[in-house]
Amino acid sequence: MKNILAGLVFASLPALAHHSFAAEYDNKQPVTFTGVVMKLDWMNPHVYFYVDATDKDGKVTHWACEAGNPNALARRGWKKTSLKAGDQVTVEGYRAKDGTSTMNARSITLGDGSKVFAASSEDGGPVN
Amino acid sequence: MGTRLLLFVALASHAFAQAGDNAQLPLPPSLPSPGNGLPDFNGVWQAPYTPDLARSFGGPLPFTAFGADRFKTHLGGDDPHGYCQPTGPTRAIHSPFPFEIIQSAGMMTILFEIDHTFRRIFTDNRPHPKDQDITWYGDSIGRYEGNALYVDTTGVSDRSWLDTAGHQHSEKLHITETFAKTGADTIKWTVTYDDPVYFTKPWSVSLDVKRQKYDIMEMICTDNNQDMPHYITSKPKP
Repeated sequence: MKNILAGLVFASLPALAHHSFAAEYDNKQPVTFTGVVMKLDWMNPHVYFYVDATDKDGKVTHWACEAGNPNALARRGWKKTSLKAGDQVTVEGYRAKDGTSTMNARSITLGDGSKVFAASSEDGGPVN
Repeated sequence: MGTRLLLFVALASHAFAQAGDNAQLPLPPSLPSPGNGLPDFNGVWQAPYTPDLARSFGGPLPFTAFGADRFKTHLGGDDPHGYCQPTGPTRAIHSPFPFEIIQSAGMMTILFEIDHTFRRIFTDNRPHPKDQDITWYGDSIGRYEGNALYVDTTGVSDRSWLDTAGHQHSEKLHITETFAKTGADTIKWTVTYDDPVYFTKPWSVSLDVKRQKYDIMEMICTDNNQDMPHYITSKPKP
């Protein structure tokens, strides 16, 4: 069943052609954080959004999050207003190999529990 | 109503829900058939995204020792398209972006959404140029036969990669393609790569290309390429 679900996700997420997952991200460094969207760039070749996440000790990390391609997302009905500055989000994905606070978002959940954008797939990266 | 509502709630709450179609996007223009008994390829199409040609080939490619070593040692961060350099003539066909075909007298033009670029396939019986320049997209000539267009491409720069998985080629690459019309809304695209530097024998992949609901859009790769500084690459950092 899990495999079937994984297959469905694989088939339903916008694809990424611009570069392979391994070119930039580390599948051994999964990251999950909750924070506030500061900015969204609905631009090619990837949508980027920026999240300030505050940990238990009050330390703020500024995350740069890569999502799918805006054209592919638009064809699936998403809009640049589907995620906006001020939204509370929980983001799951994988960190860049270079250790910066850059990550590939595989799952984006809004405060009400709904999911937006999905992420990139068929890029050799893990399937969530 | 009850069943529909339940289905809607189930779909909407499903962890992997997506927004659905976008009714605001423009539809493809309606182009007339090329006539003269030619197969009608006019319209907007998309092939299944194929980041790894070996997967569609069904196994490892028939590498020469040199080709195998190049593939084994490549870095994904060296992918030219990661730097918004061109895809070359065929990677754009199996990218995750649609393309529009326009047939005219003596030429078939492909307008690729990816990189907002194009490819011209001459169908006016000309040969490849003598003393051919090496270019990113090479030189493509084609001939119609029955329901298909047969295309021959040479002169492709070895700076382009064949796919996202890192399969590469030399400038001796000879590409042959068949665009076969298999239905009103379907094309069977078959590509054969022949490159004695990288491969011991020619190898082929076939993909089912489908007519698309939406028009092509603008895709300017250099618009916001935030990835470049983060690649693990042998290239100098930008």
